[in-house]
Amino acid sequence: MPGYLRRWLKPPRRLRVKRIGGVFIGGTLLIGLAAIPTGNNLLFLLLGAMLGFIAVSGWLSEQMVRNVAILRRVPHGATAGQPTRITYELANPKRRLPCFALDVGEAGSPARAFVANIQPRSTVITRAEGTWPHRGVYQLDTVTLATSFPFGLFRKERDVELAGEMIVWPRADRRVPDPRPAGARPRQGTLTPFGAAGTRGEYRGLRDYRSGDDPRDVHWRSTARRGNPVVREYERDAAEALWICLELRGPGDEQAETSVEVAASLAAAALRRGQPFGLATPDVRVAPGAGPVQLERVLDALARARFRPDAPRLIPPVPAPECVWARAEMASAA
Amino acid sequence: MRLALLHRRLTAGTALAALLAFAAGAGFGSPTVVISAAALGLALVWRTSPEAGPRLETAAQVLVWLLFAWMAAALFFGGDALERAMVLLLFLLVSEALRPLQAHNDMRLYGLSFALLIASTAYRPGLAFGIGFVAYVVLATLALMVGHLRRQAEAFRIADVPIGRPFFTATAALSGVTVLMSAVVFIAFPRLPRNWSGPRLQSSEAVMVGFGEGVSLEEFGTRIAPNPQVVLRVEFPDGVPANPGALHWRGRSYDRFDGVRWSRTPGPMSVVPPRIYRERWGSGAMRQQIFGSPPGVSVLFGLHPILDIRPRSAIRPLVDGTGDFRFFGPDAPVYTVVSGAALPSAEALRAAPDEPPPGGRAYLQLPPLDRRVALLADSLTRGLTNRYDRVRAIESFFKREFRYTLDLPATRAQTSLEYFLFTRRAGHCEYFSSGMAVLLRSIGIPTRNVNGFLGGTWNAGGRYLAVTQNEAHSWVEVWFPEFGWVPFDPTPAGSREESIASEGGVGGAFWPGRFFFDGMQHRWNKWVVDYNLEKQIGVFQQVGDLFRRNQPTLRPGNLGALRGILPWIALGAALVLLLRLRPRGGRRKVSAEARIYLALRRAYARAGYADKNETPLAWIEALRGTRAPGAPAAERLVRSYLRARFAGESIGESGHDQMKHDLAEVRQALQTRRRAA
Repeated sequence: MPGYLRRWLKPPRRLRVKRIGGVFIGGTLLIGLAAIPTGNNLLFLLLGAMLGFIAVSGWLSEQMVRNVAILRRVPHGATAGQPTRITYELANPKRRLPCFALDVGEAGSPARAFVANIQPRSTVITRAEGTWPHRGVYQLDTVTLATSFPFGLFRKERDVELAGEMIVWPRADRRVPDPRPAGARPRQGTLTPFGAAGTRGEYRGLRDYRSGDDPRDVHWRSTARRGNPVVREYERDAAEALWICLELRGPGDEQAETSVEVAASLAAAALRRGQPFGLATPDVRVAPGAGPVQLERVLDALARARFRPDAPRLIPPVPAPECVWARAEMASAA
Repeated sequence: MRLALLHRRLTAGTALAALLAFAAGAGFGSPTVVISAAALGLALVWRTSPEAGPRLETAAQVLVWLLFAWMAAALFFGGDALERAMVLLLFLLVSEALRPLQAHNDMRLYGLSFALLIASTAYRPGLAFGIGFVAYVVLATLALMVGHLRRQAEAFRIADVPIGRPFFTATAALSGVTVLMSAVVFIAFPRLPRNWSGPRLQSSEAVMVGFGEGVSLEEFGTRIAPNPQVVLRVEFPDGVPANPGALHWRGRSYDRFDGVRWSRTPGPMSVVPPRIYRERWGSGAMRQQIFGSPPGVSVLFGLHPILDIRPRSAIRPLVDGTGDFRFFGPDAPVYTVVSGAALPSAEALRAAPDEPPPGGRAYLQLPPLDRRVALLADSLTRGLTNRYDRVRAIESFFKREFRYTLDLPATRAQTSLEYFLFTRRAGHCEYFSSGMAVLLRSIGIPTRNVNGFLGGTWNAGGRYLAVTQNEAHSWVEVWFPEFGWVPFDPTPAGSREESIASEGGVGGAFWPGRFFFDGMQHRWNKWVVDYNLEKQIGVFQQVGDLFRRNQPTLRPGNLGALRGILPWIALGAALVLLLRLRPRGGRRKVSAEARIYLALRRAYARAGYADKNETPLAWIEALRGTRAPGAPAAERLVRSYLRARFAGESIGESGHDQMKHDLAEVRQALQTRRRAA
């Protein structure tokens, strides 16, 4: 069915009768059934009042959800299995009527955020906390705005098309052994922490600024000339960088997911040690770097990693013995 | 006001409104109603502590089971199970209102109060039901909304939900919509023909002083208390008579007198066919539309002679053996009476022959009486040759020589008819009618005693005659062959009216207000309680006529029809334009947090700490620098203000309370410093 037709046929609102609403409707019918044969005029008054409650409930709940503008802000990276908050900004454009008791959340998700009151022509920020059990890239398309106001008899829901994406990183808290590339000899000397003065290696050149770069590395003259931030790049000790390699060929089973988590944990451990690290998969290669931003790049790439039987074999960026191959067994070996 | 407290008060108010509606039918004086009202009033202001809640609940459960057993016992051993069920319902409502109100159990209270409202519809309640119903709708709307907000706040662990005055205003407006919808459904919902209506619960109210099913002269003591309860409301479709205060509303007749009480001889007596009255009494007929009857009696009233009675509610009239009209049926009586318009002329009555009525000597029966009674009757009628003159002579005797009073005889010995006739010469209407009947019978004139009402008070607003228990009256009917029963009233009229007026009856100080209320009550009964298919059709016909009458005839070239409505259209458009173009700014309302913050700055300014119009944080910094008293509390207050004002955070009622607390702390600190200085 074409999308436009599907949207046209889709009801603009959904109305769910709650348990107490069902009791109320049943009571209304009973009152009506009692009023008609008995001719008790006062029962007709009560019947009218109950119908009036239902009508007012329907109208008012519609006013609560109508025209409310929603803006969604997702965190840059959520971690699988950990609580994550999505921020919603709700704006009430109405001139006089406030909105009461709205809850908002992603369609189909149990995580809801509640807003007690949005004054006329005001904006309120609220957050829904939920847990994403698996890593991956989730396409967010619909936000559901709902209310049971005013009486709690019915629940009115309005879907708002709001395209978005939520990247859920794999866990990076697995205990993994101190990695040594296969066949590598233990290094002499200590690994130098990133950014320490005098320990950076030789000057390599200029490059564009990336988020997370040390502000002290900004080359101001070139930045002024170009109009874009530019930083000095230094030679890293190539032998110090940790290359994490991950094969994607195979079924995306639990073992495969564990290997992804191992890769993430290796990266996190490298960050803690101050060691530059990079990631190589058949689909993507993240050049070695250091710092939290580098970890984010690696986790992003791991979030998007897709196991499949026909995935190409990984060609390591460095000789294979110098890669740290992320495997599920490494987690149990820790 | 906190949400929980507001919720509690609204639910208690809702229950009170339901109780008002219930009391409108069951009676305001009922002990159960009074106790329930007191308990619900307590629920409005008293908050059950969480510790006392479980104990109260346990006690209430025990009582509920006891009441249930008491109610069930009525089914097996006799008693009014329905009344006991009402007591149980009221107790459940009160106990629910008094226990700690949680957000999730308020539905029980709503259900119980609504059940009470439903129960009250079975009592044929008065106008107070309408007031209670409207109050119930308004309060229930508010209570349901606030309860829902409270439940949501608790579910999402939110401290409080700010509710301002506009919320209440808007909710009241929505309640108006609900009431309007009730009215629309009430008017428009099709009614079935009135063949059957449900059982009507009789009020347990005792028969009030006034009209009763018997006449007795045995009361003695102080004074007959007035009773302004309206029992009949009479409309005159053919036009209001010239003197409605002199109309005798005939109810019941009595033929047997034992010296103290009047009673009725069982069996057929003397039914005069209506055609006799039509033929012999003169032309013309008068219609009266009568609403209601005295509580506890099933008598139909009307002006004598009653030619026809047409019921308008679910009652069935019948004529008993004496020609009196009664009814049976579950509904309150609403009926149209067709009566003869005029009495026969004196000349015609003088010419009537001297014959006994059907029923034999029953209407000449006399108890053992003092011989002076017969001598008195003879002396009053000596020389008079016809029945009519004799009757008039005796009637005039009472009107001339006696005085009307509501004071009862002081002792039992003084209650006798002889004492009234020969010693006291003052009494109420039953003495006068009994005295005249006895005197007439002693000279062989068939007479019977009649109970009913005399006159009433015209309610100009409702255009009906209100007849109260105060107008209960007795008179006599005398048999005239070929004419039937002719009424005569020996009670002195002038002194009777003065006596009633002095008691706050017709001319009493409270009457005007009561009049208005009675008019409303009449309209309530007529257009709400007794609304039926006939009235419904009439309403729709009137609406249809309205449209047909006002429909402009639009033809090409004929714009005259539009002239009438064009000004209204223009006025409406101007109003809409004014509303849309009016300036929307105006004074901005200062928020609560801003008010508290400004009060803080004023407090320090008054204490001598110069306010240089700095920003809030700079000002706090300055206060800290000068080690001003209350600075920590002031800083907390300012930070709360900044969060609410600029960070878009809703600090809620609790946040405002905390700000007020900090302000009080600052003021206290400044005061202490001032005293120390």
